[in-house]
Amino acid sequence: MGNYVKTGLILMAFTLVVGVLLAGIYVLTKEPIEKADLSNQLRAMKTVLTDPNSGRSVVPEQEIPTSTAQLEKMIWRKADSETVFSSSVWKGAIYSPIYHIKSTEGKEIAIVSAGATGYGGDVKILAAFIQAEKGFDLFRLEVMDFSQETPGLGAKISEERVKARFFDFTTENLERGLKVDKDTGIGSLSSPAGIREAKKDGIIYVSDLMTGATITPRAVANAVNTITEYLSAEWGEK
Amino acid sequence: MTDKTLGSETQKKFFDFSILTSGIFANNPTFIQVIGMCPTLATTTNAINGLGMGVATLFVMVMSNLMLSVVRKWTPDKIRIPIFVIIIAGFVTIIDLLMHAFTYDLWKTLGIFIPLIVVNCIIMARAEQFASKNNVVDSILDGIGNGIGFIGALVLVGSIRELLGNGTIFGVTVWGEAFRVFLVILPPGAFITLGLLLALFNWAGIERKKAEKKRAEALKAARAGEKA
Repeated sequence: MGNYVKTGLILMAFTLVVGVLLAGIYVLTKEPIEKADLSNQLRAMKTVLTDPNSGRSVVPEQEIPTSTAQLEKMIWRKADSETVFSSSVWKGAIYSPIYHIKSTEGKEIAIVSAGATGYGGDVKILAAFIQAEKGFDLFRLEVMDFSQETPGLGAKISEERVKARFFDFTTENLERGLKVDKDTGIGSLSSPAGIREAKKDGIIYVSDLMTGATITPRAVANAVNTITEYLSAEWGEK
Repeated sequence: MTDKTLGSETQKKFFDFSILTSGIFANNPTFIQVIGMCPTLATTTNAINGLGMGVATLFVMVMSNLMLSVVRKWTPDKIRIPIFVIIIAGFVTIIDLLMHAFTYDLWKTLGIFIPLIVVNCIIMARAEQFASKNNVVDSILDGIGNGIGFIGALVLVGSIRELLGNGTIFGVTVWGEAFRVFLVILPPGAFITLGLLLALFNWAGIERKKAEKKRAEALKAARAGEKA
C-alpha cells in the first residue's frame, strides 16, 4: 500500500515540475506568439492588397494596417462567434472579422478570411475582393493555413504559381462557383493558352502543378465560393 | 536490439566517441534498429521536410536524454514509461511554443511534425535503452548520435523521393521534369524507397561481417602457418 502511495507521489511530483515549467514557458511566450501571429496576419493583408503583376499596392501605402488599432478600424462585419457565415452549398465558413478598405482609385475592397475542408483539416485563406463594374472580382488570395495538407502534394497550394491559377475570373464565373479541373473532366491541358481558355469557363486548372492533390485546391475553391456566396448577398449594402 | 550497457566497464572514458558514431552508423535508428517508421514514412516527401523533422527530433532527443539521465535515480521502474512520456511531451510542447514565438516561418512549415515527435518511438527507445541506464554525458552523446543518424536517414529517403518524384533535391532542380515517377512521392513510394534502402543497408552489413570473418580466418591461418 505504502509503496503505491510513494509511486503515485513520485509521479505527481514529476507532473507538477513539468506542469510548472510548461506554465512558465507559456506565460513567457504568450506575448511573442501573439506578436508573431499578428505580424503574419498583417503581412498576409499587405500581400493580398498588392497587385501580383506590377508589385504595387492597390491602396495608399499609409493605409496598409501595421497595428491592431488600425486593423480594428477596418472592420466591416464582426460576429460574436468565430464564424460570420457558413455555406451549406460549399461547406465552407467565413471567419470573423471581415475587413474593408478603399483602393487608391476609390474602389471598395473586402478582405475576407475563409476556410473549407481540405485533406487533413481546414484550409484557410485570406482573400481580397475588389469592386468591379458589375459586383466584384477576386483580386488576390493568400493561403494562410495548410498545415494539415501533405507536404510535397497538397502543401504545394502555397506556391505563388499555384495561387496565380485562382485569379482572373469574371464576376459571373465567381458567382456560379469556381471548379477545380478534376471535377469537370476537361482532361489535361498543356498550354498556357488552354489554361486561360479554361478560366473563361470558371475552371481552375492545377493538375499540372499539383498532380495527385485535388482535395486541397478544391478546398481553396470552395472557400472562395463561400466568400462569393456571402458577398453576392451582402455587397450591395456597402 | 543489442546495446552495450556502458558504465559497467572499468575506467571508461569521460567522452566516449563510439557512443556517438554507434547511433549514426552501426546502430542507425532507421536502417538498423528500424524504429520511428511513422515519421520516416510520413515526412520524407522531400529533403527539406526530412531535415526539419530530423533536426526537431534531434533537439528533443538530446534534451529528453539529458533530463531522463539526470532523474534516472529517482525514477521507479514501474512508472518509468509515464515519466518518460511526461518529460518528452513537456519538451515537445516547450519547443512548439518557442518556435511559434520566435521562428514563425519554420514553425509553420514544420507545423504538423512537431507534435508527432511525442510519439516518435526512437526517443522512447533511447530513453528506455540508454538514458535511463547511463550517465548524463553518455546520454547526451547517444541523443546526438541517434539524432544525426535519424537526420541522415530522413534526408536520404527524402532526397531520393524528391529526386525521383519531382526531379529536385532541396528544391534545387537536378533534372526537373525530364524524369518523374510520381508514385515515389505518394505513400506507397515511401514504403518502396524505405524497403529498398533497408535491404541495401542490411546487405552492406552482412557483407561487412563476411569480410571481417574472412580476414579473421586468414589471420588465424597465417598464425597457424607461422607456428608450424
